[in-house]
Amino acid sequence: MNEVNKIYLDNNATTPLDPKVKEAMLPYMEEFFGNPSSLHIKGVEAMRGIEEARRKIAGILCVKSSEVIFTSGATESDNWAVKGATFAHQKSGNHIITQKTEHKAVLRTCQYLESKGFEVTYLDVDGEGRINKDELVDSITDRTILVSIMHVNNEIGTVYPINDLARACKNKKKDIIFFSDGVQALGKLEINLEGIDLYALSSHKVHGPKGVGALIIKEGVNIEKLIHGGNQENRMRSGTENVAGIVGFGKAVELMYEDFEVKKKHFEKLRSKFLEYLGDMEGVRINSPQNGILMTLNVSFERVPAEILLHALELEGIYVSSGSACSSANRGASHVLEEIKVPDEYITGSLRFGLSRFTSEKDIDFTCKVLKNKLKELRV
Amino acid sequence: MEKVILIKLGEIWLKGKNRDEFIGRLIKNIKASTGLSNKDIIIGQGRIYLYNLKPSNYNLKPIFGIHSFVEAYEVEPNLKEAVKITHEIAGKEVENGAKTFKIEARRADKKFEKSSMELNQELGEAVLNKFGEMLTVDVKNPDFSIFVEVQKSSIYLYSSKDEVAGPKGLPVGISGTGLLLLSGGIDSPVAGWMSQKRGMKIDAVHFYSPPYTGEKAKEKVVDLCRKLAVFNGGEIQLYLVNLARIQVESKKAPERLWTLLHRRFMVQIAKEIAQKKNYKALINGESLGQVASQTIENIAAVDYAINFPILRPLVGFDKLETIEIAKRIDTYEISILPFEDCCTVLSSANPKTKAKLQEIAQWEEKLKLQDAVQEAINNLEVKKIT
Repeated sequence: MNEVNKIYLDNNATTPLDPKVKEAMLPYMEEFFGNPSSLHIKGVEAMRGIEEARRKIAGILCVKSSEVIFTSGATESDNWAVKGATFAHQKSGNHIITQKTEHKAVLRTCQYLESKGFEVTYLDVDGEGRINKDELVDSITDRTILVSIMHVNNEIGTVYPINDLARACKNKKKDIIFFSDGVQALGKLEINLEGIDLYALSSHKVHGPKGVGALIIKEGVNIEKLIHGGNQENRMRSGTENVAGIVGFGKAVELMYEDFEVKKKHFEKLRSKFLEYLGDMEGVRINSPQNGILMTLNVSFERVPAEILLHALELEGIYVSSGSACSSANRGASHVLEEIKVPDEYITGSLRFGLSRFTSEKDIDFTCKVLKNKLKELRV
Repeated sequence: MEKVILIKLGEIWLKGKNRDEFIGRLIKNIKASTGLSNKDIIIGQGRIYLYNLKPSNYNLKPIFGIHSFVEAYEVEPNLKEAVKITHEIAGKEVENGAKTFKIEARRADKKFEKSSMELNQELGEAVLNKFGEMLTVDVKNPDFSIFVEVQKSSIYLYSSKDEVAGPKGLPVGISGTGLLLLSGGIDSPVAGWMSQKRGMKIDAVHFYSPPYTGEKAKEKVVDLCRKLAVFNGGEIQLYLVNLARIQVESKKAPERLWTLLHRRFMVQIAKEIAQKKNYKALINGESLGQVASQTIENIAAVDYAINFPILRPLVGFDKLETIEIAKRIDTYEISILPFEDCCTVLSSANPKTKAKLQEIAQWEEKLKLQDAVQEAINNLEVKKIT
């Protein structure tokens, strides 16, 4: 999967397409090119591909096929969930609750709604990115429509107990809608959507193609449409379907859950090895919670500008991402790292390593060896 | 009757002995950027006429040496034809709401039956005969002028409203070739453009410092070159030089000297490239006193590093003046992209404002970087950007 001699560790940003996914997609770019809405066989062929993908994803998430609505990606799904739920219920309330380390697709949508007169509560997080359940429940008022809490944080890997949180919210106010952005959970956790009304997914974070995602909308949950037109996707989301993309998405999700336990062991090994190496280096701070998701490790290096370290690793064929722009603590640092209060001397030097099933132990060995050398060289 | 692009030559028509060379260069540049061939181009007195120009190739605005251009009517050299077109132009301007006009005739072919004065009078009357209720003559400040240019085989007519200002300046290539030190900031692309404006064909050299700068910073410089290529006859060479080793080793010197040392090494490398590839001068974006490091002492310290001309077209510009041009030539939005932050790690927080040449030279000797300079030159990467 990796290019020869290249180690791709930026899998939270995006993932390489699995060759098996590409293979599954190809017929839908060639012979099965039809418009799924067409009545002739070309339409039927395309529709079959979409429905098979829908069944696969529904099966894995234990939801009904009709509850999986394909979109152009997670940003659309996040926008749709937050705006759609709010607009549909604005007669009964005007209040949204979320938390400060959500993805920008949720936070900026909430800010937009604030500009339209809605009220938003942004819950604080602790040093590991977690919110306080009591605080969440206390902030619910009789005007609260929506609660939006992500499943897994994309930058540091905090896992939120969404089922537990949803239950607590609904105990206080029965008709609250609970939305969760599941982008970084899909394929990495066994997902249980009990109590979750809306759940956003992305394909390109699970070795699928870009430009496709989904929103799970549980039966009976009423949200307003975001995109109007030809009434595709069970009249919920218009626009001619991205057929090949959807087929690839279905295949990609399926592959993520194949031999899941074996994969989990692999990630456990990689993570503990990585942490062991980091333990031997000086001036290192692990920003990810200990019980965070296995594939995400956010690490700060004292007195090393992250961007320089990133490029230094790049020169050795290792690709990671940085949590902040160069040399300035105040400008461009990640909002997540600021919210979990990473100290100033560390925040400028934070890198995020995102592992995938294609990451090998050797990759970790080599990366840490390079890292150790570069730290010596680049520390200012 | 035919439509033709009439190009007015400004300054270059005034060039004495070298006029042919200037016009030859301009025509070469026009051909390069429009795809026209010799048979589509006619040279007249102070004019160039272009035929068969498709609207999509109509991009004459970036061609230096063009004073202005206009789509003109071309007719047989007789008064009747001229009257017909004068009516057509006046009719169109009346529709656009014009109330006053004048005729501005220019008889280049002295054998033509009427003089310029007579043409002004007779064509003016012809317009008034037809549009007398809507138009009056105003010779001082008319809403539009109808220009009538009589050449030997044709008369060219157009409305002043249709005339488009050209970029003026001199045809690129007429003033030799220069090598621009292109940083990615706002100033250097403008400095390059100013040299192009005075007829210099430029190529660019960019210094990068991995891992302190990344691929995106390089990409940004490529994008800037693409913008400058438009004024350069469509093409520009970009030399990419890895300065990392020199910058890192310069850290042995006191921090306040870093910036100046880097600059001196950069011009040394640029000079080597220039001499090898036959550029006549270096060009940079320095403006006097704009930042702490651009004092006259520091500019001089850079000059003394090499025995080779450095042009500084922005020397008398305020920052805002530079920004105004950068916006006009479309480089501003690229320049402000924030990709080169990390250079700050290697540059001095408090650069020395008044460099002591002796101290710098001593450090330069102590650092023993001549083989690093050679290494940088040997590993030069060249990209052709169109």
